[in-house]
Amino acid sequence: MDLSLPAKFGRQLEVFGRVVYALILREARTRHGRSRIGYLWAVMEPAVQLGVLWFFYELIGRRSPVNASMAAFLLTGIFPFLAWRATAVRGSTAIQSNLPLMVHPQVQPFSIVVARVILELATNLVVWLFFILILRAFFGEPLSSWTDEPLHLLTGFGALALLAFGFAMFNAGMARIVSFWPEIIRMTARVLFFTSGVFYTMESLPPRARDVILLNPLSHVIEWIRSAALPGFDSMHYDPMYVAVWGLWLLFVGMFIDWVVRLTGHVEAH
Amino acid sequence: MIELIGVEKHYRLRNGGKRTVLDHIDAVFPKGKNVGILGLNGSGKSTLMRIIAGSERPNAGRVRKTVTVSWPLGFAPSFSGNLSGAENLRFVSRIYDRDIDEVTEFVRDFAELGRYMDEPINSYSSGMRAKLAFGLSMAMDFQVYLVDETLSVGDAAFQAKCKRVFEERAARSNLIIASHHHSVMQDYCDSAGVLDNGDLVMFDTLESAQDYYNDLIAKRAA
Repeated sequence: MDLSLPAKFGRQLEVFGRVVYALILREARTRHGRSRIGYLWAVMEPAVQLGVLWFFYELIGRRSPVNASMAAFLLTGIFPFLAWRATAVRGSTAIQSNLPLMVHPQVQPFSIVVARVILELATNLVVWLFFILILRAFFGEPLSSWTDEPLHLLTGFGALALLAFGFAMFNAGMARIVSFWPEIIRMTARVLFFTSGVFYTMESLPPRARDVILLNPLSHVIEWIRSAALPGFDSMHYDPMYVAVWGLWLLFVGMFIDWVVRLTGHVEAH
Repeated sequence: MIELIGVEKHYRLRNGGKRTVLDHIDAVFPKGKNVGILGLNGSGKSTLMRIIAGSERPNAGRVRKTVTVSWPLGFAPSFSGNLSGAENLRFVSRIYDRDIDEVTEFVRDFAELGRYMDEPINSYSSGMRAKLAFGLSMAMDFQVYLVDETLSVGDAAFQAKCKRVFEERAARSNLIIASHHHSVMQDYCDSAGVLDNGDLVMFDTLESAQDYYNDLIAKRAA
């Protein structure tokens, strides 16, 4: 039974991958698969948000603040936000709602959070692609602008994924210590919808307000993705390091909480 | 072989106090032996089983295992009520790296649930759930099965079937049965221990464990 260290690590990694894969499939079934229209909700929410914001902007006669259509501008804000919110909120409830599965020793809090993050990010990405195709088909929105800076866009997605993963891990840990943490996150998300630049650019803000808004790492991510995805829009207000540091710190603290909880043999209420 | 080395477990109480459930337990469960664990209600049998299974971590000490060990059978199987029996099987097969088709076929045959295999678990009776859980754990083919309180699920016919399966497997699988009564152990166990007041005292024979346990009950009653 004694294995060399690399072999042991390889074996653990294999088990981890298997568990995450199984959790993703299971979660996909329980999350949306219950009803026939399950996955329709994943499309409905951004559609409604986009529709409402678009409608009001048309109503007050506001033009797109960038050299791209209003729809493209709003989408590049709505989707990073929704992807972040889904992972952050679902991360905070991850452990509690999967507690019975932890009777199997290979199902660890870390694997549960990783599975949720992957599922939420993938779902949001697919829905986003779907919207991009819809806009192309019905509003003649060109596809080329999305792909003319592929590396820039990919790093933006990477930053979003890191930040979302960090928040999910951190929230999962906090929720094991503070039972009402998911409520706090839901409340925070409601505020952040208005303070992340979903429907305005950093450039359009007065400098003092901008400094405050830019404390929120999500506003950096949205500017980043917009700079990559929208033609002619290049923001100088986002800082890749700032996002990375936030993401890594949250991840670190979340994993630290998990480690302490494990070390002390702390058990959640069953 | 399963070896408990200085295993400790305590829980925080609401009033801020601490309750010690397992107080530095050293014990060995040798390969090839079926062992019973006798203990009154609340003596920590379930906690001990969960720690042996690896579902819970001790506050101190460790568990060394050279065999594959099941999750504790008996109470609250980790099924998702929204998913069907077959879907729940798939999840467990995946995390234990077993062939999904083989497991499904085995459980279909063993648990006798018929078309209910494809219905959500929410619609199952508790007997049906227990049958599914039992069949699934049998399909996993563990080397040691942890039985919490009872082996008897389902009706007499199903119980006879369970017994037959265990007898067939005696050569490669063993049992650790925790119960407040020795009747369950009579049929299976070679030896037993008594869990009381955080201590696990192991005996070579079931009879001596039983005597010790009866004395304990007599003392409590007096």
